[in-house]
Amino acid sequence: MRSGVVIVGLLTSLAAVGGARAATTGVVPMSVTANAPQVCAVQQPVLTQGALVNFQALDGTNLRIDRLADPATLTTAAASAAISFDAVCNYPHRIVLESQNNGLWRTTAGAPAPTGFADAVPYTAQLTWGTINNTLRADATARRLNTDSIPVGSPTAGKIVINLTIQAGDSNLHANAPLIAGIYGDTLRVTVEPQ
Amino acid sequence: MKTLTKVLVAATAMSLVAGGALAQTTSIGQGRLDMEGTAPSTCLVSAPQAAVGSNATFDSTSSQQGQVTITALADPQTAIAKQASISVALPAICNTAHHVTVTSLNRGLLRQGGVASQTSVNGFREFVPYSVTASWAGQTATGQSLSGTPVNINASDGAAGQVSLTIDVPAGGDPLVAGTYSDSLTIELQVAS
Repeated sequence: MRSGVVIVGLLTSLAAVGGARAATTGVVPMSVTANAPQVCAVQQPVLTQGALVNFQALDGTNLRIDRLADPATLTTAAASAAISFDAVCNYPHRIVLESQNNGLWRTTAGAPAPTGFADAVPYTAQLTWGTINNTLRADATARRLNTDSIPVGSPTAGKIVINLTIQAGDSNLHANAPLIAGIYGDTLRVTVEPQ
Repeated sequence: MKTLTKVLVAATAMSLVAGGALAQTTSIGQGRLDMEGTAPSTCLVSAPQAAVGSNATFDSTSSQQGQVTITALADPQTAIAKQASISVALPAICNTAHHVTVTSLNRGLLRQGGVASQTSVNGFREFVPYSVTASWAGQTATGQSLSGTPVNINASDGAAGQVSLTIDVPAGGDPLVAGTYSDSLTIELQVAS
């Protein structure tokens, strides 16, 4: 766009010189076009200040739950955290929130949990992006991909905020079922992409 | 005109360059969060909630302790030990492989000030061994207090429920020296290493 202005100025100047010699005016229509590429970008996650309950500090993309199980009962301990990603998408797009395991599942391979024990922990991920609000419930009823896809009708820039909540006593067996020992995990992905 | 032509050529060239540099591309943005938590290997045991006894009673003295009292250890006519038994159920949970042990401090009921020996002195004894039976996680084990560790159960996975513990004091034998007899039993659920 700036190049176009320079060119027009040059033409005007040349026309004036021509006028002094031959009193004629040359008009040359020109159009200058350019395209801004369709860009969606998401930065690294950061913790939102003051919104950390029973989670440890964020290390890169890793977020550790401080105490997954209540030591007195072995049932799920409550935890919550707010995470944000700086993001921009300059065209109508969709935002996809995806839980790889549909809950926090034991990452260590092994036999199924013995009778009376739970081996997965549900959680919710409440997403806010521009005017969009959506809650993904990773209910841990089965170990699978769980995806929510929401169309966003206009370009949006700002923060994708995800509020993570683990309810006390929640499990894939029944309320207040004890958790079998092990490491539990899930990967949450947020994607902004063409509709 | 010649100059204008040059300008037009230059402008066209610029337009082409701009078009080439800004060819339509679409980028996708993605963020990732890896969540992780650990349920530690733990065993928990609580005070008994129920007890059934014959010639014995049970009282819970704290959340982790209880007292078994034998009503009549010896027959009042003969001073010979009377049979007594008691069964208690201890709520317990282990969320990984573990073992259960029951240990006896005195290896039997020992008279205060007495000697833990099965040999009678002057026809009297002051030590009464007994048997212990424990059931847990589908296994039952019985042993004698004399061994010091009458019960040892290995469980290959987590288990939850109640440890059923039965103490049997046999009747008979030489008469008992008068006095107070006692022992201390420890029921331990320990995570397998």
